[in-house]
Amino acid sequence: MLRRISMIALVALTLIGATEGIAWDWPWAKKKANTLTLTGSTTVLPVAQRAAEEYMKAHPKVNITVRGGGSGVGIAALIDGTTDIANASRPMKSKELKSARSKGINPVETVIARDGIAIIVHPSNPLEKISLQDLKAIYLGEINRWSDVGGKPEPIVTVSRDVASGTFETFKKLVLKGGKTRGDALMLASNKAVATTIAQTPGGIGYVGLGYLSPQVKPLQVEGVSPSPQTVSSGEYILARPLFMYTNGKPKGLAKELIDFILSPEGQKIVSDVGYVPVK
Amino acid sequence: MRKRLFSLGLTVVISTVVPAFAGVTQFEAYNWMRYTMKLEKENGAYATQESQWALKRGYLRWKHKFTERIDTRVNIDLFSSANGRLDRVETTGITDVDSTEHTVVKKVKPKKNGADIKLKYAYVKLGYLIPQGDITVGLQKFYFGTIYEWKYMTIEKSLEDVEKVCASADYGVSLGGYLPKGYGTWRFQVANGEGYKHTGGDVNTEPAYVADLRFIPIPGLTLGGSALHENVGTKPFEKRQWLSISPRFTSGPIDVWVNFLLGETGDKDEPTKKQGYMIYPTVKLSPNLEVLGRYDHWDPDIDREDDGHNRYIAGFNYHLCKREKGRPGVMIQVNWQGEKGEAEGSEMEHKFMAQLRWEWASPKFGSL
Repeated sequence: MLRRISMIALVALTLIGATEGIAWDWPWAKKKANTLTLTGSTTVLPVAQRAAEEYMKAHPKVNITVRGGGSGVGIAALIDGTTDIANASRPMKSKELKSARSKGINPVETVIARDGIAIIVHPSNPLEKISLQDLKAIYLGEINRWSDVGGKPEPIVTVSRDVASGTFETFKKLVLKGGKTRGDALMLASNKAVATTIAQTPGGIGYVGLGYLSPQVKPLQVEGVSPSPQTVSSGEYILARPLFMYTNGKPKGLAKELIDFILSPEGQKIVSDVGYVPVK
Repeated sequence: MRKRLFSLGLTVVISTVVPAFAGVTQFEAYNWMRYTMKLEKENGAYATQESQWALKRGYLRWKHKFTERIDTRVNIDLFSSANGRLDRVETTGITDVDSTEHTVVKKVKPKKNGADIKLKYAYVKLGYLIPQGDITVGLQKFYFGTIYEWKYMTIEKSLEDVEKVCASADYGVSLGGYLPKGYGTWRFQVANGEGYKHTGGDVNTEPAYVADLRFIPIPGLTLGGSALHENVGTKPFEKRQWLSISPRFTSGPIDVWVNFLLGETGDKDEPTKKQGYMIYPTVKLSPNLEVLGRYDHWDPDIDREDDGHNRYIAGFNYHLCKREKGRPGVMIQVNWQGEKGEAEGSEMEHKFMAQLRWEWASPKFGSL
């Protein structure tokens, strides 16, 4: 019997050792004060990356890691304890809040910027504006050709964000009013992927955060209003939403320092530079 | 065999045809391969009563979300059956024409051919009428005590399950949802009461009623309470009335889960009073390694002396990899389990279990 137990214990320990060695990361070992991880929304990513770079320039001993993945991924990482800050372009859902609280995580949100969801097409598309109703009909699959909304007699290629995206959730809420995205839409994992695809697809339509607008894509007016920091700030542009950073409890330590930096005039200038709307 | 082929065929058809429709489809598979060694004392010395490998769980799960408000799930469990024994002894009593009674003992082959199949879940969750909630119809979780939240981080089942208080799934209707701001969950359920393995003539005319509340006053502290009531019906459940109080505390690497159970079952006028509790602490030593202990006490009849038993569990779980949202991917579980009756002269039964558990999910097909 003892031999069998020893054999099984040996196999188990070998497997463990083979994957991670014997130097485990003890959770109560003091976390390095000069490291920080941010995970989540690709909309928040440009702000987080620029802010991290600037902060690290000023504090060379600090190491900040910024990851994308989407709002859902960031929030799940916060609940799992694998990130210090969850970046999100939507508020947390009841299910996520319950899951967090039951695991002893107390999510506290900080609004770091405001953003507009820009509707983008290929620069060769002659269309200048679109109504909310037509936009909804395109994404629900009820309109399939540009000529039905005043464009060329060509098919529409619909590009969307995937379900882990906060931008997708906000778009669904504000435009589709809970409806289903058409089955043939391309579901992409990041704002960048959407912008790149539209820049290469003459018949394409997609949506991105303001930070991803560039000369390679053409933003459409929605209900007669162009997407811009000014129209988002004034409330004229209706496809607008706040951008969040979630921490476990009130921000403290390096997380607090970074968030304070983003909310400072210097940090809010970064927000403005990447195309979003400052909140301070 | 035909049944099995039909189930397999149905699964293949569902998995190939359904993704073509609107909505989001995902497939999952769980496999739990377990080694069990059981030692009991015989003639003053411990002897091996069981030493075997078996596939204890082989879930095939199909999840399809038609819309944000209509979510469905079907689970089929393929698992080793007949405990791997090649034959068993069956004793039957017969009566001759002259009224003489005989006992016939014979060796028979097992009915199961090494594996079996069962339906575990088949429900639709409708997100209508209840804000932040749903109405769930079909074969679903049984929302009592800790059983519906049990993730098998000890290889042993939850206290309700192992002591046969209730089954982990049942046919019925439930409605529930989230308390505001993540303060917890609530649910009411009306179910057959006999559990997911029973249908047809096994099911009595009286449904079981369940109410469950999980309240999280502060992050990390969950106060759980459930009540189960089933009126008089046919055997084996003539009366069932159970109460569960299950507080849980989680802070950093430490998780302590407690469950108190108090119940009355059996004859309507003279029910048997039962009670038990579980204390289950876990400490996470690293993101991938957790050590755990568990102590169960069970008293099947409060009015009788020394009929209870105690269960002790110690072990560890090591995650070779996790999948999305921290759920198990590949995990090694090792548990020692001891069980001892309260009666004088009872000897401890030892069980050593090692399990390799691998669970995967396909990408999500389609869109909402």
